[in-house]
Amino acid sequence: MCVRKGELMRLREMRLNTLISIVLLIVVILVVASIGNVTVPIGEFFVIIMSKIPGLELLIDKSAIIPSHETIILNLRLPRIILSMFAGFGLAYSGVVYQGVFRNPMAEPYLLGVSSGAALGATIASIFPISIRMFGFSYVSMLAFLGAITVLYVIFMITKSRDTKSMNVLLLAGLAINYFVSSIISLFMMFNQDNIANIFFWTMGSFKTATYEKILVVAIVVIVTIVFTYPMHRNLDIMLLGDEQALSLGVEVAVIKKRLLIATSLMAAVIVASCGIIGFVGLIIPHLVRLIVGPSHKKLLIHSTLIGGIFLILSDTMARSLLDNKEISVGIITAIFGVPFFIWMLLKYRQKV
Amino acid sequence: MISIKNLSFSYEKTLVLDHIDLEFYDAGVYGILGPNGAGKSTLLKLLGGILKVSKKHIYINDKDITSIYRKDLAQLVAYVPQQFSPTYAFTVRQMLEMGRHPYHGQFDELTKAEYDLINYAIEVTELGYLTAKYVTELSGGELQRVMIARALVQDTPIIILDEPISHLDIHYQKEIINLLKKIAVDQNKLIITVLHDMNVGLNHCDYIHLIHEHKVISGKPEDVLTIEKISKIYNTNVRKIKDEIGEYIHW
Repeated sequence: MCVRKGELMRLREMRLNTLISIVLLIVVILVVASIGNVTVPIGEFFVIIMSKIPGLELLIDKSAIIPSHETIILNLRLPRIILSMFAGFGLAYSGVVYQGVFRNPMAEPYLLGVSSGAALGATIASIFPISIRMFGFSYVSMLAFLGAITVLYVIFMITKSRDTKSMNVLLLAGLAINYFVSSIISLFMMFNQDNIANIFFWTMGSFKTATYEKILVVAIVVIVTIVFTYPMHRNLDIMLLGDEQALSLGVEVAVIKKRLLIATSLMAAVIVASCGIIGFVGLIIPHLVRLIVGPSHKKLLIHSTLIGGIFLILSDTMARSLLDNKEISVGIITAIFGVPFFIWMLLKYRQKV
Repeated sequence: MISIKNLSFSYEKTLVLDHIDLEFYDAGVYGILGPNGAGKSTLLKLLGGILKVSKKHIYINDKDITSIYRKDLAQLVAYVPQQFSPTYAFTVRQMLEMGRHPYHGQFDELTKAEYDLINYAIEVTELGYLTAKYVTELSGGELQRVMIARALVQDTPIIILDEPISHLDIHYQKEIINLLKKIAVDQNKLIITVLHDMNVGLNHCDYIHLIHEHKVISGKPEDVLTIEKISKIYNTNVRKIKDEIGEYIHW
């Protein structure tokens, strides 16, 4: 009985923590929505949002809304905030899964070619421009997605044909192909030097082009991936003990690993296509959260996802508001502000690593 | 319970087991002995489903092991590895809870009976004072007991162990051997353990399989672990010492 009570306490503690993360996420969204070149008070933000909810709009006094504020919030800031949130969710989540599957804290969602493939796609797109759009995604985004899944496919095929279960082979193949693809990109750039700046800034990542259409695609992909893979959290825990123990505890290691990697890699590819290659989130957030909640994936996945969203919303807010009339690439922000914070956490909690 | 027929196994090009026949009849403690490299650990890994075996060589309860689903196999056989160095800071209790994995779907929580089982395993392996500790902080011997406790939590009719007492001090060597003997009798389990120390085999096992040069000698400990056989197989002259408790082999 006593044990059962202890278990319940643990469960409650966990729910409470999750609640704290969710509340924090909402507070962050409210605060950052008011920040920018034009300050919109939180109260007015509320009114603008309410006035767009069917059924509530009649109850709201719209006279308090300044029309330009409404445009800024609904067309500029809110799409960016929501897109950066889902991108943060997805990148941090796939980071946790990658680190779990590879049993390696250095693993991250871009390990198996998603980033280099996307960059290659974007490079090709900017050299041979065509003007088409689909679901809010530009031609560059579409080719980036194609590039990402092509390179992913190649890496999976290389390791499959060797018929090896070893994760190290996959990891090394990923690294090698990443270098290979990067040098092809450099080669393209050599002959198209006019495009270098464009490609460079695309790869650094931005939420400037966020639209509700884009959000819909990214949100669906992120939610479906998480719903499909989260139930495997116990398998992830057990696989951290090594393949032998996982097999002897009834985990079909090869099948589970493949499912997890393919699902989260595809999610990362969609995110990268939507906003460029934002580094660091998928590597550091899982690590950071593991320091606090421990290695058990039941908690680790949920908290990393939420914290990843918060982190990327904050980073994008800085990216769009630090300089008066110039935007800083969000990839720069995630590293410059994230790394010192991460080092501080690492030193503070090092005994739990 | 387990019957092995004409089993061969090789890593890449190194033949480890060569047309071996073995039987594990019923409950009891079976010791597997043999010189280094004889294939003892390999045999255990094949039984635990960790290494893949081709069809029609290993049968558990008359069922071909290759036809048993992994989760079902994990409800039949628990495996205690020889060495384990954890890199992730799970608590001892979390480790033990993982022993219930084969019985669970994706969402269900542990039941009262399962918590009782975990507490029983904690008690008999004397882990009570460690349950909240991280496995990364434990000594080799403590970790070994956690792994044995998890095998008990897994609650299988068959437990296979790879040198379970090599890292333990004599207190725990005695406790663990007595525990294994006790559960073999009380809970009617089949315990298969690779042993380093042939005196443990001689004095505590019900049955011995002595593997050497791809062949197996099986039988009661006193029939298998004779001075002549050991001297020949290990290529070392040994003698036996007897006292009122048992027999001991010395080199």
